[in-house]
Amino acid sequence: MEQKDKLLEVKNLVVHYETDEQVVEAVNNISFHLGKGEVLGLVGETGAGKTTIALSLMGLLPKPQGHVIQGSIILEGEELTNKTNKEMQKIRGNKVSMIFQDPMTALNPVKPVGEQIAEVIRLHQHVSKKDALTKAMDMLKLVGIIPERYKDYPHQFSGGMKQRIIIAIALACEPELLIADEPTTALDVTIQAQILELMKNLQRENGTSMIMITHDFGVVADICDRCAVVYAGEIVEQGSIEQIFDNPKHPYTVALFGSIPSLDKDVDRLHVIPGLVCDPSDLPQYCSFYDRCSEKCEGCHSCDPKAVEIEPGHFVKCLKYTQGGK
Amino acid sequence: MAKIYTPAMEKIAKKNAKRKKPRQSTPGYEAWKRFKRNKTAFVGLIVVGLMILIALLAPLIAPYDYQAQDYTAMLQAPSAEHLFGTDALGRDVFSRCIYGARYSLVIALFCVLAAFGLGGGLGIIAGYFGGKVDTIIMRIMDVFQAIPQVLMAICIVAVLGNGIPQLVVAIMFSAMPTMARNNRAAVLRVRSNDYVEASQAIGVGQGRMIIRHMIPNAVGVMIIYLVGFIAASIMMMSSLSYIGVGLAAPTPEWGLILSDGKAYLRTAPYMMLFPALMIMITCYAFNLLGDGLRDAFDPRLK
Amino acid sequence: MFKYIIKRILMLIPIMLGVMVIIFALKVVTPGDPVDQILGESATEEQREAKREELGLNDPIIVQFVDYVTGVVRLDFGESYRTGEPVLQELLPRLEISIVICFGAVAIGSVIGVILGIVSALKKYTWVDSLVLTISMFFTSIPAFCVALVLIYIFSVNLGLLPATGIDTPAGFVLPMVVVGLSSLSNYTRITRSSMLEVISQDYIRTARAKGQKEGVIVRRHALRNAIIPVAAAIGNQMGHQLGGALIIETVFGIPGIGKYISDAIIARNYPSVLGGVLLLAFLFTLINLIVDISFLIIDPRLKKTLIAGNVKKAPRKLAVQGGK
Repeated sequence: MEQKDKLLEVKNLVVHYETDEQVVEAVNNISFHLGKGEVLGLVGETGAGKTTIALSLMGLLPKPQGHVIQGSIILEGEELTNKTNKEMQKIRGNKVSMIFQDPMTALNPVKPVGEQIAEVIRLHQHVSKKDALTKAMDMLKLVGIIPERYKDYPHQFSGGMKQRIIIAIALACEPELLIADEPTTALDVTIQAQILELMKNLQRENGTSMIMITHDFGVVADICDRCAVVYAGEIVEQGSIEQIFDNPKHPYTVALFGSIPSLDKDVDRLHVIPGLVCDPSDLPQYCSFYDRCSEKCEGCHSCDPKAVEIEPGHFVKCLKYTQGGK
Repeated sequence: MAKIYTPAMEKIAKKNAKRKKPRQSTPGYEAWKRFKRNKTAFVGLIVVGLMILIALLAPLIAPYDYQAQDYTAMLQAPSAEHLFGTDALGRDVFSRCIYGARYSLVIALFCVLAAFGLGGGLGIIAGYFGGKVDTIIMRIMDVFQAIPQVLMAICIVAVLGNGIPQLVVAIMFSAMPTMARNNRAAVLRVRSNDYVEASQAIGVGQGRMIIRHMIPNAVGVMIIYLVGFIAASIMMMSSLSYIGVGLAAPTPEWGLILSDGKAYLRTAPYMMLFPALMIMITCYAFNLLGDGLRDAFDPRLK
Repeated sequence: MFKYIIKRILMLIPIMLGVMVIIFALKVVTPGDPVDQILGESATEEQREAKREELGLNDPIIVQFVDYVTGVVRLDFGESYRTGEPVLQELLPRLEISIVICFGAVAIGSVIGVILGIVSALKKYTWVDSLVLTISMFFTSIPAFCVALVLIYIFSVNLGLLPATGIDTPAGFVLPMVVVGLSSLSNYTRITRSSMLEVISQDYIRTARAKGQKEGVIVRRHALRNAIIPVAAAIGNQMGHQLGGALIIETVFGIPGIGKYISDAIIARNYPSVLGGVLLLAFLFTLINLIVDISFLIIDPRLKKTLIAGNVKKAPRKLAVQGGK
């Protein structure tokens, strides 16, 4: 990846949630980057820290528990981690937007949807109330909703429609980066495809970069250019779609693919990964996948491996390749 | 990558090292933990305990008989002999206040029990059975609700006359609609929970459902109302005493001691000050306790 | 929606009838003869009997009840035993005074209470939060007449700023309003706080943050309107109750309000006054709550749908309960 068309670079990011009772290590030393117009998929189980990554990019970690312990987030050459909330307000919704998981609750129930779209436009573009509303109607049209419905309230729309409205809010200011946090999980399967299609088209038209957070490899294959597999707050493997899908290296990735039902093969039981994700408030010193790994060896218990590049752009964080590669 | 340690983690590690037993995690224990962390509520608990102790040990603490009149020492300012001074009849205000803890708390307790028995009972019945029973009970409560509580209490005192049992009945009726409403809501909330449906689905019997699932979950909420209601009844009693429809003299009820002093506000303000303080401290403590319990039993707000 | 309002107004009738039944029941069981109060001890038995006959006290209670109800329908609440004046004529000026005090008190209490509630919700679990709750709870833990006496002592006796008693000047209203308002302060604070806390953790607040909206605007434009329903319910309730329930304060300040009027009437066995007064209060209480419920429709558009769908009576209440827990 060339330096000049790099939009986002996350380096060694560590995020903890601190309460009186425990410290949850939600994100551990994550590094990745994103080019302009590129779509990166973050794949992982529930609780792997995907949403935390997204929230720290937005500067929206829950307060007072969430803390960025170390690392940097650089968007278009600007460091985001040491920005004040006020400075972040100018970036949120403008340069970086986010689509949340549950469309049913993400819209304010007592405001007409048009007003909610216009709000973000008014915040970041110097336009009159009327112009903002006109623009909001355009956005509605863009996401496939009759513009005349701008006066309606969220409860008058279905789940899929609400997600369209949220997409309209997210894209209203033509952000450089769109973070979509499981945008289709809460929707009906039939609607999922429509929403994905819509996002894909809008992303292509505007050349927006996107981070797609999901636990669904199908979504990744459909929409992403590159993909990072997250486990216990770490990226265990990342690379292009082809590299990950055709040549998965990390035992976790391999196991994940093994647990996807296949149309070709007829199996009685799906393959499951034994054990549970380790307790994020009590992570081991060694490789966090050790306890569930089917390919572990003696060395695995004594050290935490570093990510190595096994082919251009394809990183794996597993001792197997650390030793083999170097 | 080496694990990163932060100061917060070290603090917790230290705390965990101190703890001997591993944490168990029952809802009651969690609530207790949350309650302990709430300092103001803890203070409330201690003060309430103290007041109960005073009430129990009143004869030992009070230096004089609360009824003993001493015409040689009327309207005296606080002194070593009479800590809170004396009233117009030469009675020791300190002793009266100490005995007042006994009377006020016990009467308030009876008010709570009576109000819960009547209003709470109706509310639980309405909430549990629903349907027509619910409609009938709650419409009747609507009617009672439309009459201001104090006026209702005065009406009942007018019917029954002055006296402790009469006062309890008056407060019981005046609190009935609110009690019924709160308890009905508590039952409904528990009933509408998914686990009730889930237990029904796996064939848990009606009796077992009420005992094992609904009561433990509703009781917490009900107790919170009741603790707050103790303070409310003490206040109601003192208000009634103030306009002369509460208890009859010489009962050492705080409200009565307080209104005994109202004629001497200019000359002997301490006569009102001390009983007012007793009422305030007690009600405050009960309110703090109630609030703390509410937070402890409602973890969603954490 | 129109149907809903009509239905609610019709609901007033059974409540009024119920209130009358309760008061009549109390009248039957109350010892003491009202005639004694009217004519005094010295009256002869013939005079008493004549008076009873005149007041209709010798009729069966059912007949008295029916007579009264037909009277009420014609807005005739009977005459006060004590003065012989029509009850309504005596009530209305007193009601006016009470309404002024009640509105002032609710305004003071709810404005301060809502602000404190918002502050403590935004600063939850900090010392600010504890301080706010501690202060607002103070006024719930001390009988209102004590607060009244202390304020009279400070502002009337010592500073001489406000009159201690009476309402001859508008300044006379200030202290009663403040006292009644403060007594319900913690109610508003607590409800606002818990409602705010619940709203602020909602997803749409996060959406607003993700838009880059300022915190202050989020609280004002997004959170407050969603959080206000339980508060509005509390305001309605307090207003209804303080209208007649402020009688202790009316006694302290020597104000001829409706609560004082009724409580005096109860003690004097002056039934027409009691009945008329309580009936009027109950009517206003129910009416205020109806207005509050209708205001919910304006606050929250979701409710309109619930109402049109026919789930009439319970919808706003249910929402209010949910928000308040």
